[in-house]
Amino acid sequence: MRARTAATVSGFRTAMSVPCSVELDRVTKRWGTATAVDGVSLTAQAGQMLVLLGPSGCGKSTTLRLVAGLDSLTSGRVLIGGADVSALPPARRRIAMVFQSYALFPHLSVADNILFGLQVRRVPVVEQRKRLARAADLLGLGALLERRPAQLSGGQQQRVALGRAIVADAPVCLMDEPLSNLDAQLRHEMRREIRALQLRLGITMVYVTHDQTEAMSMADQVVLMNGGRVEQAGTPDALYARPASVFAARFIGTPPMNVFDLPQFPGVRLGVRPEAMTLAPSGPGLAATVADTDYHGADTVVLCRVGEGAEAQTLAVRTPGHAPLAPGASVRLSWAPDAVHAFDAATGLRRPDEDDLRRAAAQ
Amino acid sequence: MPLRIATQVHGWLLLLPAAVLLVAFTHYPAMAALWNSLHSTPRGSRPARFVGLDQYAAMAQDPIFLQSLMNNALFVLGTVPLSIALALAMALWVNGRLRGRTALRVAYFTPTVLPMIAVANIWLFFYTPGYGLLDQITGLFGLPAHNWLGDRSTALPALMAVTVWKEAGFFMIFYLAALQSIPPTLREAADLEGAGRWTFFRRVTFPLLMPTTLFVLVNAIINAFRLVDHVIVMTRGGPDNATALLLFYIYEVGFRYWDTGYAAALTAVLLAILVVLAIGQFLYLDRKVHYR
Repeated sequence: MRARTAATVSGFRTAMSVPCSVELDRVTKRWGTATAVDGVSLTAQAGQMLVLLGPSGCGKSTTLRLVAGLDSLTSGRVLIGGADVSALPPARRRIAMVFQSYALFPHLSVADNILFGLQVRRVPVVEQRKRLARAADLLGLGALLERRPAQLSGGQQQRVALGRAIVADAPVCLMDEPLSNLDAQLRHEMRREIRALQLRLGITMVYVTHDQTEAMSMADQVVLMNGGRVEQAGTPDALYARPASVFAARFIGTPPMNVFDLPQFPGVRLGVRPEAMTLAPSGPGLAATVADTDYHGADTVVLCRVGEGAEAQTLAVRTPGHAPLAPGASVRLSWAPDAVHAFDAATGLRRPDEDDLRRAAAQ
Repeated sequence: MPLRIATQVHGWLLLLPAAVLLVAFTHYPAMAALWNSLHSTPRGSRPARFVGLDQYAAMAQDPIFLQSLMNNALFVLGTVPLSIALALAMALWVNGRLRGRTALRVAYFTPTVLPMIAVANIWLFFYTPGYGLLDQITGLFGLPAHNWLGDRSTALPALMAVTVWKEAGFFMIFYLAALQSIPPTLREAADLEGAGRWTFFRRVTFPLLMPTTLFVLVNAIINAFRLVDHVIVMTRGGPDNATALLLFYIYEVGFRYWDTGYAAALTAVLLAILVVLAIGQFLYLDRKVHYR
């Protein structure tokens, strides 16, 4: 008995000290005839923060549930730490998970909520206390341990859910939109805190969100999903600088990239980020009329109309400070050659970078 | 008339119809019963006269009253825990993902919908010695016929079985509603920790069902003391008062022997028992119940 418990405890220790990679190999999930996840392959290196990003209904949450083992795979494999866990129940995958609703037990105190898993796994009480103290310390929950979840604010409940994930000492932590129930201020704070925690504990994290700011600011690797497939995977930088498709271009960045057509480039859709466009009252560049301005404090987003009638397109331009432009004013829009992204009009995919085209498309 | 008074009058007028009914059929009879219990029963030329607590003192010497009290206590112990446990088990069962669960829910709930008299008659047939359903089954195994309701030792348990059968389905509905308000993510969170079915039930489901359990418990006990129709149809308290429950005995005293004074005193005792039990349950269990 004693030997067994000791082994369990040291098992947890090793689990913590050796981070695990998470790998998905052509993972597919179908519900009847509907395909929620369609051949998704991705790899989160050990100790990496991988963010699954996408609009609602894109299959990102289902993908996470497949990693957790809460839903069963239709086909494909899930590997954690190199081992195929596709057939294992959630409890044996060495993962912790934070749910969007936090899934706290309403009748248990904060301490019991955090310790629930350890109690179930019969971790020795001394060890339980040690881990609780550490988690409470990391998350600043010390004064709240005797409270019930209903007596906590949203942010505090979120911390308890994090605490529950931390004490498990699992090498992999899954998060399903953990911040979506918090207000903007708190979300910003928790974002930094979760990232700091992940780096400090050296755990591999798979994080689901629909918020691209969250993804960009936290991730080592962003996997952008659309319609159950991976649209693009890469560093936040790569997704921003070289979007692989019109969808990726429009999903990442606020306001989204301008994707428009110019008559001299048939079959090509051009993309220029609002922050890469320069607005001038006169001079060279594309002629446009101001349609509306949207003042944000540090900058102003100016919506400009280009073209006439059915051909008219609206482009957003981000200019620093307060731009005092009246709707209807005539302006000129210009941008540099390397700010131009070119996409295939038929497939929506990025074209190989062609310097001639970019130079020609610059205004 | 000032507006404030007008509003008040308006309010009282709205309350009036309900209040009249309540007073006429609940409060006045209850008070009258208490008042009657302090008087002798009027008979022919002898009007009722004040006898103080004499009626209550007489109960201590009344063997049938003591037996019906005892019967009722046994009846509560025999039906309440069993019907609650069954209700919970059935609710857990039909709450799962299984084929035809709607049909199953309906099947479990059916006994509750049936009229009491019909239920009693169905079970009378089950219990009939010789050709009743129960004896036909035991007969297959070569066992002798048994008069379930006619034997002092089996009559009360036979009545208990009917009550458990009828109540469990009703209580199941409450448990089912409570179970469906428990978010499924709790189960998933527990799955991730490796909590088995039993652990999850003991640590999460059961504590979260406590408010329902308390409600069902109070109702089950009140029902056990209120039961009279099954007794009237199936045994009339017999054999030899083996199935005389408190309310049945009150009915006998009041409406067969027309000893209304004594019946009123018995009613007061029954009410007192129910009030004490209900208060006790709430005070004791409230501390252990987590309300969301």
